[in-house]
Amino acid sequence: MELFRSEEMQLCQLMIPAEAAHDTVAALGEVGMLQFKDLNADRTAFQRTYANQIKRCDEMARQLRFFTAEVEKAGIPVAPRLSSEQGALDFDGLEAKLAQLEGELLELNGNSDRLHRSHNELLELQLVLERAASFFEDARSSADRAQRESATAAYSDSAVTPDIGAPLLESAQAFEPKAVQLGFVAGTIPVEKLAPFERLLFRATRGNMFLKFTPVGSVADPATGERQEKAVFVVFFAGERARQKILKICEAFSANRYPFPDDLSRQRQMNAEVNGRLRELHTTLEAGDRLREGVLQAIALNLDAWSVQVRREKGIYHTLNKLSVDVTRKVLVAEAWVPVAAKVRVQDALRTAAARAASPVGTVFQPMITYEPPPTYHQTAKQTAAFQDIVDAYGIARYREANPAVFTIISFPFLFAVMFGDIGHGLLMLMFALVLVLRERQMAKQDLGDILGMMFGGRYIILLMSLFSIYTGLIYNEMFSVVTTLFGTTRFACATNHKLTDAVAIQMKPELCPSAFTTGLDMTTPGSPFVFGVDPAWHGTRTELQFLNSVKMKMSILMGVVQMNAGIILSFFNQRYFSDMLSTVCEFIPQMIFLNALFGYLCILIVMKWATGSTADLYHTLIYMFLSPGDVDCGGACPENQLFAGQAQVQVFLLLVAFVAVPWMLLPKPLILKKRHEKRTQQAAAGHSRAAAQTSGAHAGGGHGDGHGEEFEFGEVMVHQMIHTIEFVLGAVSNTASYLRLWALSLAHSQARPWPPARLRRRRRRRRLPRAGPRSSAGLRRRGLRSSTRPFFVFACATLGVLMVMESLSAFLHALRLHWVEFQNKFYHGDGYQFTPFSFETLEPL
Amino acid sequence: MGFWLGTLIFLIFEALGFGVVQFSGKPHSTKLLHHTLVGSTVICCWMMWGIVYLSQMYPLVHPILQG
Repeated sequence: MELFRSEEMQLCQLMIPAEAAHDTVAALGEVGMLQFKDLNADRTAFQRTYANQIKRCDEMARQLRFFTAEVEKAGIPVAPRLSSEQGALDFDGLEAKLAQLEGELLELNGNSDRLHRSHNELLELQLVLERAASFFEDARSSADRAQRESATAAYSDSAVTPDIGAPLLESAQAFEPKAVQLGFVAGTIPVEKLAPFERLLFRATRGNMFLKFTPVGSVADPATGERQEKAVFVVFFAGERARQKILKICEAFSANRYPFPDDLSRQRQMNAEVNGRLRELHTTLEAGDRLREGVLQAIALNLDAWSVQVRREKGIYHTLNKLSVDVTRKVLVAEAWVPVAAKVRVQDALRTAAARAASPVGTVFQPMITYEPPPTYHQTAKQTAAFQDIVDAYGIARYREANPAVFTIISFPFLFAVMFGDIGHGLLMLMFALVLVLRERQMAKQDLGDILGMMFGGRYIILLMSLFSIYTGLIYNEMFSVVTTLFGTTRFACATNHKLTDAVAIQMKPELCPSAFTTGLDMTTPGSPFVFGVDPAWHGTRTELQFLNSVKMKMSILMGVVQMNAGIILSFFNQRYFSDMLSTVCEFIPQMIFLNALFGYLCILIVMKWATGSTADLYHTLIYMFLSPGDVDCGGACPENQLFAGQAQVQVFLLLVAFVAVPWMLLPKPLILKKRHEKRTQQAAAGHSRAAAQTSGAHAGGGHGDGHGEEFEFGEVMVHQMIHTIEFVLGAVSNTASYLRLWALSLAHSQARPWPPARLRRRRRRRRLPRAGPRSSAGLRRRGLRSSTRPFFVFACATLGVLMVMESLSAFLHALRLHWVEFQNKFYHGDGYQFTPFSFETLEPL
Repeated sequence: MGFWLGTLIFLIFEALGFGVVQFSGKPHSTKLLHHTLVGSTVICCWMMWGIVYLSQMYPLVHPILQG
């Protein structure tokens, strides 16, 4: 059966002529069906034959990443790979091309950076020229004004002008005869540094300076190229020492200084010069940008093809590094696992590669004999892959052991649905799953993010889960927790009047059937219940929970026992496949007996009780089966517990076989293994060749201590068997109990009702009560209704969302556990390792 | 009686599924997988239905209305 057992694998040896090695490995990567063994495991990555090529690949990968970043920064779309054939360049050609392009791009970038810097500098200079000139202009005009005023009000107190800029210049003019040279420094500084800058200047010059500034808005900084809020400043100071200090402070605050001539005419001349140079730079910059864009566009066109090629080359050289080099250096020897079914394809690929390389000798491809366990390779389709992943997450199957994924495909969504049974919720989930499945072509190409991506990966699981949820919802007769009557009318009626079946009608007029509220409705057709699913009459009754509890609990046990039996039967398939008769007799048979003598019997009792309508107490029966064997009806005190004639004898018998099964599981197998081992060592001592034993055992490998030349430790085997036995015996009880989670979760699901019209109706009824009172009015009633409905709607939607997500998540996890633990521990070893072939399709990105 | 009739209906579903898979023209090993899937689906659904059906045949508790 497909998927039931992993693909048959074979270890093959390839002898590849050295000159054709690269092309041959490339052809094998195209096939993607060989897992190369590392024959140089003792050598470090640097000691290997092709370490140098890998280094070159890494360098090329770095260049490609650089190109990608540049192309992305420039906002140029990367063209998808045009054709499957990789670029016309070979490895060396590509390397040269990439290096040349990188140099070109770096130079262009450097040029452009330089030009941008001087452009920004000029811009700042222009600003400084404008703003600083305006300072001087202002100061000069106010000084003139002050002079005129001072002339009129000859040195009166009113000479103190409100403008703080004026007195300094004025005083400078006033004390002109003094030898002190008033100097100034102009420049730009980020606005946020202005305050500390001023403070430091003040302290450094002991207040003997004057700072004038004006913010100029956002300006590109020449050094970094980033836009910053800046201000133009002019510092006036006196003396050469102050000048030195101020220059240092400017440097520390990364304030850019600019030359600013005193002379007005020279200022104008400089301004014109700056404007001219700016225009010039602008055209140069534009031309440079165009050139750079052209280069980047050319790169973007090939970028994808190049990265694919580099990735492949790297993969090829990594693989070549795993090959061992023959002493003559003419042949590379490889060992690789290959699925037997893919051997023909590999041979074809090798032939065409040899023909293309035109080497005198072709590659030798021959099977090898090995005792190593082969890798596990399950060939999955897109529908089954997610289920295989569920199983693989627990453990990779041992080579060719029965694969639980085959059964998980149905049983997993089914157990999920047992816990998530609701038609409405199932339909919502179905819609979601259908969106994912029908749009899978488009969605597979998109980056969906973590959570949605995970759901997309499991879209077929979700689809099946939703379908089964709808089915179990039909069985539970629930649609958004509302009862449906899809399968006819109820089989329950009023005990006194069998024509009264409508529970709502009885509730409206309780006097019609008072017994419905005390002893309950009566079943009209005993032995012939509601055809499909739970009778709608149960919904909303006082005994609903009692009934559902009983049914769901027993259902969980029945399903659990069936699934566990299926697991044990699968272990039988494994034993038969590996021709391990000993385990069949000493494990499979007693396990079946033990589980079914206790819990299989319980299931039969449950079904009998249902089918006969007996009132037997099954708890009592099962407990007293152990406490007082042979006594079913409590010595005549509880005759209803007797379900069938001879029950006491049957129970005693079952108890006995269950007790016998435990030592049966424990003792014979290790003892027989020990005897076998002793016999083998005797034979070996007698000079018999062990080759025969090895070839017969090469296929099996099952059974403990069956290894080749392994030491047989009886104690270890015994302990192992003891653990197995105890695990099974305790597991039979605890696993059965564990299936009760089906009951608990399905009950929780049906009780968490986000849309309870019944409750709403009840609330409405309660609200309607005050209408009879004298103070109630229509307006109050309307307001009350509206205020209750809107929050209710929001609340309902929110709880529905929470329910859908949280409940499905918890049901999913519990179904997962039931499969991983309760089902798989019966037969699944899960100690294999995954087949990871060298394939171009699964290469990791650069 | 009703139980066996219902079981028969599930058997008919199984037969239908078997036929569909058998004449699907897929390779033999794929057919085997699909037979397993159809079979386990029918078994699961039948079990669920059967359990709920049997449990309601002779109800020990009766629906008591809330009032």
